[in-house]
Amino acid sequence: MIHKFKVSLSPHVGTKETVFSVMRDVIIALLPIYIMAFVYYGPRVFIVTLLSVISALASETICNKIMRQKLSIFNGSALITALLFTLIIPPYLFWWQIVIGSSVAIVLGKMVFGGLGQNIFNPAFVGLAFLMNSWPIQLTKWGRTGLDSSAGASLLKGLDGSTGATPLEILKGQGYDKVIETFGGIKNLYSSLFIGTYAGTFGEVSVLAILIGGIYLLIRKQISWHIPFTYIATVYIAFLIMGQNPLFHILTGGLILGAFFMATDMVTIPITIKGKIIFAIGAGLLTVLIRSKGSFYEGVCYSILFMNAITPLINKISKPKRFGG
Amino acid sequence: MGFAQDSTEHVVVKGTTGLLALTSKELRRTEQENCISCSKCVDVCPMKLMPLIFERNFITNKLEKNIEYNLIDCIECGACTYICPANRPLNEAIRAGKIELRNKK
Repeated sequence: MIHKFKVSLSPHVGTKETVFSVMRDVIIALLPIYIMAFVYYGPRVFIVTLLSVISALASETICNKIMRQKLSIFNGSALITALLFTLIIPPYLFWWQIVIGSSVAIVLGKMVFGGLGQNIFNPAFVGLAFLMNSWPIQLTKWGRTGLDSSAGASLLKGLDGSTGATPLEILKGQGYDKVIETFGGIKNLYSSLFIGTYAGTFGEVSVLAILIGGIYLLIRKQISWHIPFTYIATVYIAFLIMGQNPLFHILTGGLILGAFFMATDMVTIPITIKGKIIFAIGAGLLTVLIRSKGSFYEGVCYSILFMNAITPLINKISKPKRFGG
Repeated sequence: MGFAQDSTEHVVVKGTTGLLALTSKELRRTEQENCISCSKCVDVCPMKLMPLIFERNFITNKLEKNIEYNLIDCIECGACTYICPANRPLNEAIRAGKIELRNKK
């Protein structure tokens, strides 16, 4: 028999989706957050983003060259890491700290494991953790227009660069009553946290913008609802039991950003739905533990990094039950 | 499902239920990329197996591990390969893995 055709195994058709289109959806979901960040911080957002994106792409290219891999900057993963990294660092860092943090996120967070899909830890959080341990003092200087009680005021006043403490920082240092006092009443506190008129990172500015992005990802089925929902619910219930204001804890400190964008990073989370729920409960409990008992006032970063580390173990115990078996 | 035909000289037999010809437009031509563990293959698997684990074990030559993950129960429907955004050859890895397991016995 003469072999006339090249043969391959079925299926010969497939989805139109590629890795890049998955990444593109995440980038689109990040847009509302960037728009809100631009409203509150102005052109500084552009400079910081540009710095971190360029250094991320450059370090990935250098790693590709050294490891003799195909150039992998066009699949969008380095871009997402840089964009997420920009959202979780304090806005007023030195330019070289941004460059170092972003390069570390790519090199130590992703490329040393062999590139996209092989990394154990969330690259953006690796960069943040590196900066937090290298320059702890700079990483607690937030520099914002201060804590304005009304949402409109800070929009009109613009940026005077005075440093403000984040709500969680005040909570840790001076207690819950002081937080209410700075915001002027519990109602103002909630509205301010929701629309985003308090000191914090670019990504913390507005819960509303993060929710819009998160819902877009859910509609596009790039993330499953299990992780954000379980994570936020765990934090809410745990703080309710401990007698602290649970709604305040959910709305502050990038917890929602972590729930929708960090804890749903496909590469570093468990595969099955059962595993995802275990992951989210563990991360939620660790966040509560760090925020209430630890010396850090922010627990999202380390809780998700810790759960990333035990993801292979979760994968092992959360095998799906096969059909009929 | 079905068999790929390598020439035009095959015969139609009693069991032949259909002949499928795809144009080059319909064929999938995207490049193979790294697995990003999006777990879409796990979600679509009708037998509730973990195709990405099969492929990972196949490339790293841990064929014995695939028995633990019930490789034998795979019905080779190809749903995982269809859905994979990274265009991984999941079905190929599963079939090759099954053949190698059979040869070892």
